[in-house]
Amino acid sequence: MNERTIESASAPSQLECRNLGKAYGDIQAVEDFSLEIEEGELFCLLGPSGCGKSTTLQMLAGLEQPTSGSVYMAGNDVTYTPAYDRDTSMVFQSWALFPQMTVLENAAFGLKMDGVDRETRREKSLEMLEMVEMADYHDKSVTELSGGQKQRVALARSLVLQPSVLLLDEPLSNLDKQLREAMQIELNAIHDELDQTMVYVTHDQDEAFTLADRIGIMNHGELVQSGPPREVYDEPANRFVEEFLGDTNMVSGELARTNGTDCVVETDLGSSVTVSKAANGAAPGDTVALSIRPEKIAVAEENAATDRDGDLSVVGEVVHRLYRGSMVRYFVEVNGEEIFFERRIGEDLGLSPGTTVRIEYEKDEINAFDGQGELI
Amino acid sequence: MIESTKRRLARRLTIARTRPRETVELIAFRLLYGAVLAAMIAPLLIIVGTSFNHDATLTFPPDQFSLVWYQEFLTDSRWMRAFANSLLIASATTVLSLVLGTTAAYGIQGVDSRITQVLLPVVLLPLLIPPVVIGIVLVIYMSMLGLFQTYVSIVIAHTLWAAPLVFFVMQAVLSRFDWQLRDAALDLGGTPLEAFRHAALPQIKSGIAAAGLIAFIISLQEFIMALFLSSYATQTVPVLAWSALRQFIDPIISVVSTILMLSIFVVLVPIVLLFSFDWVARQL
Repeated sequence: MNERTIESASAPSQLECRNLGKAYGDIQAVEDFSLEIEEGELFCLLGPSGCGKSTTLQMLAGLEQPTSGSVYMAGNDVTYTPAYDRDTSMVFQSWALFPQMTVLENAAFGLKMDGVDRETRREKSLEMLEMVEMADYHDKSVTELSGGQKQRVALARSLVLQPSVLLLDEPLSNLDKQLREAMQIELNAIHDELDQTMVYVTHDQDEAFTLADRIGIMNHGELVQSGPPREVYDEPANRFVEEFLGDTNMVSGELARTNGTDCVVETDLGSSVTVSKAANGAAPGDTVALSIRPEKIAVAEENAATDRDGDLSVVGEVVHRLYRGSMVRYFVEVNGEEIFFERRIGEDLGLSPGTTVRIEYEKDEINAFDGQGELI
Repeated sequence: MIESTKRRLARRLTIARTRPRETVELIAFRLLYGAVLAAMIAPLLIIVGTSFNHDATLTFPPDQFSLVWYQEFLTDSRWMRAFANSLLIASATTVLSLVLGTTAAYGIQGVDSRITQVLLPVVLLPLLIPPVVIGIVLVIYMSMLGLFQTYVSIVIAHTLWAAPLVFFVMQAVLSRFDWQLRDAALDLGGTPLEAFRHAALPQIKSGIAAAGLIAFIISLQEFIMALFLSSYATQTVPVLAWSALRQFIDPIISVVSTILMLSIFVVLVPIVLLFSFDWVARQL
């Protein structure tokens, strides 16, 4: 009760979901989704395909009706407000430009629906097309445009309405890598310039990390964790988040003992690993999984010093070397377990398969998860 | 240019020489198709031909070319009224079944599948019942409503047939429609009606034209239900043709048939010109 009063005293958040849920028959697409988004924030909803993130966005837009819970915008309940009365605007994955209209007509469509007069419509739309560098194409048919250009027009069409929340449903997933990265930078610039609140749905963690002020990670229709990019990366709520946010080495072991601040884990790596974690309910004898991020591993030839002094070290043999574009990925076999790490091509360590190496890592850079996958 | 044409010709000749079996099969296939097509078109040509007879007999080819029966038709108030009735009823049927069929097909998209599963066979029912049965039932039903022998009753009867067909054509057309366009229109502030008008309609209008054409033709040629439901004042061309035939056969029947065919062409041509012929063929 007390909490409510404090909350209503401060300004209500731009967008709020309370226990939002959507069921299609027996299938629960979204469950108990609660989230607050502040004005000017760029929030990325990240998750694998089929996790319910697009359905959630559709509910925010008013294009799908939730089966439970509610949506608030600036403190007003808009749960059952239809899409056309809602102050949100969506950029669709396939852009959904009206093919029979020109670029300008597309950009001006929302204003036309709002009853804005012809001159103002034209003026405002051209201004927004200018911002996305599409003003020169204003009398072209949208069917003549390339994917990247369509993307820009779709963005202008939504932005010109100055929505309180701009919703973007994987808008860059149909573009090639180079164009996608250029558009990410532009989106960031537009976000900064207009101070536009955005909810951005993507399955690409790199994109989320590039863009987001805050990331929400969804799985099986539920919001697993939300927070600033760095925080969710360093302190994942569970094993799913850890694995989804980037390739990692998962090593299983058994919790041997704990002293309240550190845990000692017997692993298949052949030695015990000390982790800077309180056991957090896990008892000695429990199965745990350790995640060792490849970028946090220091490596050197067996008798040389590594580039940093890790707390822990094991010795293994390089078994594979894989060239992945600008990166080289090494696989090292340590007591039957395979551990991989990566280096940029430029700083190639020149380790060829068969070399014996020493791997070192810091104990507070390892995340440990219990049998249920929860972080300990 | 000439060189390349020569080479192409040469290649074709080579193919013809090296694959005589395929060529024979191809020719046989084309001949067969030509024969089937001729069998379909010949009666129509004969009907058109007999309409130019001078005498009161249906002879082909006509002994003497004449337009007297056309004059007869155009001056006969019974035929003129029947023709006007037919056009009126066909137009009304087209509009009514387009509205019903298109809105139904548009509306059931994205609706819970259980309702649509029941709806689809129900919509098919009128097409499965013999028109004689529908005709008799409608006589009773329309009499109760006080609509028996009115235009309205015939339009309703024809719509019973045309609307399901429009519905199925529009379902096929809408299955190719990108529904995100509708969502985008709604999202940009368009009401559902505006979203239909600006996002859906431009994409499906040629499908609507094709469906409308089907509805028009169905109404124009329907005979049995119209026979039951029309009076002397509201009878359509097929009904009058039938009662005329029972008395005597004269070339005026051929004239009527020719004009009916012509009126279908009159509807078809602008549609074909408006959209491509290919497109209409695909919709049908």
